[in-house]
Amino acid sequence: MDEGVVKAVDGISLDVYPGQVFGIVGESGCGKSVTMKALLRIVEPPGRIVAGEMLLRRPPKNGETTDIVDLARLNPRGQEMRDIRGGEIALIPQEPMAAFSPVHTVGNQIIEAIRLHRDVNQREARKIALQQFRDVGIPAPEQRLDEYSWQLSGGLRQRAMIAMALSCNPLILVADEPTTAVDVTTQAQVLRLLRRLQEERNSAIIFITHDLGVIAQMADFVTVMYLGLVMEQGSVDDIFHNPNHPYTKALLESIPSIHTTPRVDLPTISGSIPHPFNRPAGCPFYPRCTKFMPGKCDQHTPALLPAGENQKVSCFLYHDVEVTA
Amino acid sequence: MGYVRAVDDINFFIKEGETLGLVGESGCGKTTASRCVLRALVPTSGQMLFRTASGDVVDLAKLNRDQLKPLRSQMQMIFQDPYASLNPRMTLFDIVGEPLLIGGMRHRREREERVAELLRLVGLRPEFMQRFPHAFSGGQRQRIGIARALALNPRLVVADEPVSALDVSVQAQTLNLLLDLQKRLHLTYLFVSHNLSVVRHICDRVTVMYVGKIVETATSDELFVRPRHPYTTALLAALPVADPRVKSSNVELPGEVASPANPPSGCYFHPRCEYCIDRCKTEAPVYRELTPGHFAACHRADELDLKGMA
Repeated sequence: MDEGVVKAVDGISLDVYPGQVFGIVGESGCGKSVTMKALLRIVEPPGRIVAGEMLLRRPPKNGETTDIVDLARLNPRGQEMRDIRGGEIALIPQEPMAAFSPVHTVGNQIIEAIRLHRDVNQREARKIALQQFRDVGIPAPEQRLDEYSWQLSGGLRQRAMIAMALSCNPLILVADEPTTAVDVTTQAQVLRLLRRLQEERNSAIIFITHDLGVIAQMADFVTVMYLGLVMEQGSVDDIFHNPNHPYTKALLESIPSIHTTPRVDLPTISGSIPHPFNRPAGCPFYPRCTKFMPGKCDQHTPALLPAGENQKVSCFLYHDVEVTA
Repeated sequence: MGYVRAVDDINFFIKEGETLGLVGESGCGKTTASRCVLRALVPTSGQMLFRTASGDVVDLAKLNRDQLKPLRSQMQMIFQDPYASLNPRMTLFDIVGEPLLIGGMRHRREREERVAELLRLVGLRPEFMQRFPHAFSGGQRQRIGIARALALNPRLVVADEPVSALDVSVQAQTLNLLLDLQKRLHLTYLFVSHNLSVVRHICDRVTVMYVGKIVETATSDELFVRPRHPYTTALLAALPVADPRVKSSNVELPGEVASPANPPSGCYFHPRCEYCIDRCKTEAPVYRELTPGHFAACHRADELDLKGMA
């Protein structure tokens, strides 16, 4: 039965550079996970990429000038995309327990990943895997390689996952809520590890999370999403200290922190996030927005346009309807 | 095979009308402790003294099922997962009305009125009582769970990570609701959470647990500003601050959370503690009162000057 179309992601534009961390932050239904899946071409059918391009610049081989490939054009099951997935672009998923097979040792799985992307034999692959384990700070790596994922604690499992993601020296690491499922002290370790590894290898990280604290500590640039649209983009300092969009501002004000006054009511965003299927016409945030302008926000969808030096925002407070039409 | 001491000789109290936070990471025993308080789990030893509505003090650990039954209405629970904690085949009326039915309210009309009142109390429209949980968002489901917990006018409410599974923008609404209900209905909360920011916001006093033991208890203000246990300091330092200009502390707690199935010797925290001395490896520290109302279990509590939040 055909109930209709959900635009899980409706227009997102990111420029990702080596050595930088790009944070995508948003709540349920904002489209951050689907964006990540689209990048890796693992969107489940009947979902599909309808339009747009995803250009990956790879180091040129054999004297060519540059090598740019549009991931949106590749066959998701084809050899080229399969080489890229895990190779140039690697994923650190949210639930390492779910991502590892419970019936194979972690070493077995990492070696499999290495041999899929690099032309090495079993012994060499194991040496590489060992070195990755050491790089991510797993103690007794020789022993751990031959253990199963369920024998490792949450923190070690996540490190093993990171080791696997890094084993083929990716250009881009996509971290999908990598610390949501671990304790706060483990989270601190994992975040520092990611930063250190990134500095050492100059990889880019796309960091997806709903946790504003983690974004503040990890990201260089931030994209704020809501119900499939980009609400705001800017440097992490801009987003936290000079937010433009009413949603961003309201979100920042509503989180309890060690520094807010305890036991008084927190400022809240009224209402709740609609189901993506029931996305409001016009600006998706308008039903909850304190700055809602009837006739504008409920009729037209704002476009992401510059506001300030390096920021962009989708909001009619900053750009007129005519400009966006 | 052996025993796991999920909760290992703990001692705490909650004052009527206050919110006590129970904080700690995986395996610390906070969930087990909270379930014990409600007698959902039976402790192997110890006392749980509860002052009933009539003023008597009873030991919940010693009561049998018949003795416990009339008291159950006085202590209720709010669960973490708003999707798992509501039966999808029951309407809101069934869910929120079930405790009333069990409590002896046989007339449907009477239950409908009370359910309507409870739904209004948590900010939901009474007309919703004919609907099923799947029609509602996470935040709304959590409100349904709260309404259910309040059905029999409890005095003590155990809230087990009540906002952890909710979106950020909804957490604030739910916390405000809990604060509001506490004032209106004179509730006492045992608030279990791993999220220190939330705990700071809602709790009067806080107890920190590690691998089954309590390591520190103090008022919320004192715990956050002047902690007396190295683990508490580490927890505070690990919290990512939502301000890019304030970089998290560079001090990283080494190692992993110890396993309750195989805890270290002496002080359970000693392998990860930067202040560890020989005594810590062999002798378990005594949980004692350092200043009035401020307890900690650390051999060096008197000499250490630990960092809190500014």
